[in-house]
Amino acid sequence: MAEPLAVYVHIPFCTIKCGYCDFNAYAGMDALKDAYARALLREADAARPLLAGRAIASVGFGGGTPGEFPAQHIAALLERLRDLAPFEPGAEVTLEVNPGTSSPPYLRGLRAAGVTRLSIGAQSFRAAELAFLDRIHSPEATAAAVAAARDAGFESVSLDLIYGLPGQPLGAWLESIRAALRLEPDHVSCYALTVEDGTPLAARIARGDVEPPDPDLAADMYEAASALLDAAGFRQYELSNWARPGHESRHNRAYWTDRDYLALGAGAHGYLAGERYENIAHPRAYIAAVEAAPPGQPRPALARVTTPALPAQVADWLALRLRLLEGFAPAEFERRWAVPLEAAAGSVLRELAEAGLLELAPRVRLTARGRLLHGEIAARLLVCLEQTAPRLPRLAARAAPPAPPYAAPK
Amino acid sequence: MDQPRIRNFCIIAHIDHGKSTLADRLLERTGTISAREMAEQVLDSMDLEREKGITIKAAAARMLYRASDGIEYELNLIDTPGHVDFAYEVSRSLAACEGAPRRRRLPGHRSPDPRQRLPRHEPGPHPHPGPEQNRPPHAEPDRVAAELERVIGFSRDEVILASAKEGTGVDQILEAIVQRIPPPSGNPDAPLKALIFDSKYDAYKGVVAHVRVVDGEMRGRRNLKLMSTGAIFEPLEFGIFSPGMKPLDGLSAGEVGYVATGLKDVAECRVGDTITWADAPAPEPLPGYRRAKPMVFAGIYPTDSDQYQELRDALAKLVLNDASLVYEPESSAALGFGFRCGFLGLLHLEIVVERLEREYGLELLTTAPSVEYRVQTTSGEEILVDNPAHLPDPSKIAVISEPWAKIDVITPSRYIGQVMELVTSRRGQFLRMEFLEAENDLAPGEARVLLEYDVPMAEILVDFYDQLKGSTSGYASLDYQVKEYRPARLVKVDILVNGQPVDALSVITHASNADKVGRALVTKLKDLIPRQLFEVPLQAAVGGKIIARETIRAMRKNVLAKCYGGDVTRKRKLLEKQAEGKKKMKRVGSVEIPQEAFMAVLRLRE
Ligand SMILES: Nc1nc2c(ncn2[C@@H]2O[C@H](COP(=O)(O)OP(=O)(O)OP(=O)(O)O)[C@@H](O)[C@H]2O)c(=O)[nH]1
Ligand code: SF4
Ligand SMILES: [Mg+2]
Repeated sequence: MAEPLAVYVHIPFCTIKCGYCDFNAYAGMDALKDAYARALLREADAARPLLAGRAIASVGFGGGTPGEFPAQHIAALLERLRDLAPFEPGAEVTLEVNPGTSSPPYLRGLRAAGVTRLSIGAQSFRAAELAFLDRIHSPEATAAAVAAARDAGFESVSLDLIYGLPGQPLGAWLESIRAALRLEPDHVSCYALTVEDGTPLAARIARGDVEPPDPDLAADMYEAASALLDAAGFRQYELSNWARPGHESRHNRAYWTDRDYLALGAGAHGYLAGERYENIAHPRAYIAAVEAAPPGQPRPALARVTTPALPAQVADWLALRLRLLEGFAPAEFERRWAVPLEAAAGSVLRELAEAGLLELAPRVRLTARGRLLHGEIAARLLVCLEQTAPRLPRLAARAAPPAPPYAAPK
Repeated sequence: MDQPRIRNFCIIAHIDHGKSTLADRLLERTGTISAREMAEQVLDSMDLEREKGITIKAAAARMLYRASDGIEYELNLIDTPGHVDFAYEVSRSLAACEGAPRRRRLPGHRSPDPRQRLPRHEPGPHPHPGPEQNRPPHAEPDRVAAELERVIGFSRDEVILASAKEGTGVDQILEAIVQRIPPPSGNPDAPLKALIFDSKYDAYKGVVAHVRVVDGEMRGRRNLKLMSTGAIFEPLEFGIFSPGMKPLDGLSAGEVGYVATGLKDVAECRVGDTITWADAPAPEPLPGYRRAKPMVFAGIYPTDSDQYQELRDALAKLVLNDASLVYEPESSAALGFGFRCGFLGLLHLEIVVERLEREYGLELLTTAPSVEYRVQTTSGEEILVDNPAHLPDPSKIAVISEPWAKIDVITPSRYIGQVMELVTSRRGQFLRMEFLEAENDLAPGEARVLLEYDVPMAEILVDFYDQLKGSTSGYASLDYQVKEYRPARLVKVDILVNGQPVDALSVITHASNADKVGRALVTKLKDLIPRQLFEVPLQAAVGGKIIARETIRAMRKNVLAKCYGGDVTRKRKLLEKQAEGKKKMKRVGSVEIPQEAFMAVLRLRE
């Protein structure tokens, strides 16, 4: 049997669109939800050939706000997936919820549908910060959501936090972490606020209404958060993720370890056989495409396939692996790419090690300073691979084949 | 065609005064270009010309015109650039013609870049003025005609009022060209003499020489010879510009056109050389051109040192098409191997770099521009220094001299104060002032004034035009002439990055300004050089003494928060952008320095 597969399901609906958000998320389209749920079922059915002979290792629901999608729709989709492919024993089904819309009955419904893990978008425990972020919930709602999740029987509960807000002092951030820890989550994710082009937040900063985030302060926040979480018995396993032993998210690991994942839903991204692909982003267009697709089309909402150039494929592999704190063994690289790591990137790796960003033995992994400079490391690796890859024919032989010319369904 | 029915002329005027637009009207009126092929400033065919809206290369076109005397004439037009940096193009074009209608734009026009007047000593006789008739309320044809009469000595009835924009007066201009410009007077039976006034490289035809045939004719396969290099070639093709290249079987005395030489070695065919018959050469060549004298020097380096050879080839080919560019190899401790290039001005520099990058696919780095200094050493030698990095140690310098220019600024009188202030801040010395118009005829502050100063060339090199324009709302015009060298207390400010002097960042400045320049430079560099993996000190030093210091803090955070829903592609795009940026930087020691940093000195006033 081929290696097990992860499934990513995108739910693009939100109550309001947050000012910093540039995800594929839409407010005011709730009326589409039923049709969307039907389209997801159709898309899953169509994917039958892609699932053939494989087990499902995990399912991740992201958004948007999947936690505002009716539980019966989630249940129906999971049931359909179980019909199509066996779930591995202990398969993770993780779903993002918003504290403001996580009532006890709703969470019980999700649990009954087979969701095993909840990731609760706490973001902050200060009302003013939540308001700045346009979040619709209060700190108290987060506490209530955690309690409801426990009552509903979720064994893995994660809290998402955002730091580096304009004008946010270090102390305020640490307060949010302490408040989060008091709720005894199993897992914590800390994300730095990124100002994305084209968002209302970017416009406010450009107008000078809001200060741009200070990257040095954000670095202090990251280090302080790391220390607090370590002391509370969490282990950092990825650049933005900390877990109590045994609670690392298996679904997200698929992204970092070169595993295949199937994409379902509007704007969802998938990765199959070395090929990265993306569905049509707009929910209405997505629904229309799925409904109109002729039978036999396994990816009825496909918008685009990208097979990156060889150097980028290898750099992606390295950069994604390095996001995991365990890093990778040089032998794993060689097994995947058929050439020694030294030949592909030795010079840069040594330079980065000398600068104190990487450890090279026994595994290649980020140092504490390197964790804050992963982007720089990844860029240098890419520059280096663009030079070395063309000289390594055995490497080229391992590359994913170029994407076939593809006509998007009308 | 017989010489009496040929007229060779070019159009000259200030930048942006509508020369190319007038050429459009002439091409249209003579039916040389069909309405379908017509575009605005159709002779500006280079991408850069179209983007910038200015003429960079002179362009020729043959037109046939039946004049009011019933005879059909062959009119060879050369449209020339207006910016002073391209004056050399103009002087060469003039040598290929017998006359030039000038355009004088009416006042009240704020030209986008009111820079220079024409070079003063152009050879072409019989200039004919052609001021425009245009519509703005302050367009005052009479006033301009009067001024032309007084300043250049044209008589009132020699002046034609025309509008290139509206197409009025075009017939009169064509008639005037036929009547007032003399036909060429070469000897069609003498041995061939053809002047190369421009050239370009074509992958199939080799060097294509743009020529004006003075005596004799070139036709058929008869071998031709270049008189100064001695190179002999069998012509592949003759033709004219119409305005695209249009093959003909030959060119005869008085005509303007091209000959494809098939020569692959670009050094064998130089602008200014004379082409003659190989079997019966002319006894002596045509006078040719004075070499252009470069005013501004800068180093040009490939960002990727593997491109050095390509840069060398590209320069050799570009010089064919831009005879005013000079270059020689140089090397820099910081930048590796490159070329020291001499330009006629900053716009010329900018255009050359852009052409090299676009037309030859190079990625280049340019060092700050410099003038040429004369240094007398303590051992009595005199050396020329056009690269600050090569200035000898202060202990070995007896005297440094720098070139001075005399500048003429023409401005409405209300801006006199601003101009004075600007020029004084650039070490300028006031010479004289003259009202060009009587004040009482005009609204207060309107009368145009000529201001003359002496200013060190180095001071007007960098952003002087822009400042002048800025402080006179765009009304002032500027002309300069290089004068003598004068001794000055000049020092070199060195820049140390991470403790290492970076030769390409050195600048020469007046001693009294050194502290200010040093401080401004390190401050600017701190902005321009991105944070590195480690802390980088920046220092400015004069003769080993540190005069300013800044520190670029180490980079601390550069990490993407999350990989949302497995969207690796988006992450990669960001990464690719970062990687692209890295590749454009020059690594000096272990510090990555972006291209802009080497031009920091140009931006100190920002
Ligand atoms: N009002 C008016 N505008 C004109 C006339 N001739 C040209 N222009 C405008 O002036 C601008 C510059 O015209 P060009 O023909 O490019 O000027 P140029 O002298 O060839 O400029 P360079 O070659 O760069 O020196 C354009 O926007 C034209 O439309 C004219 O007779 N009257
Ligand atoms: S809830 Fe999340 S997905 Fe929805 S708009 Fe806000 S940040 Fe974006
Ligand atoms: Mg022009």
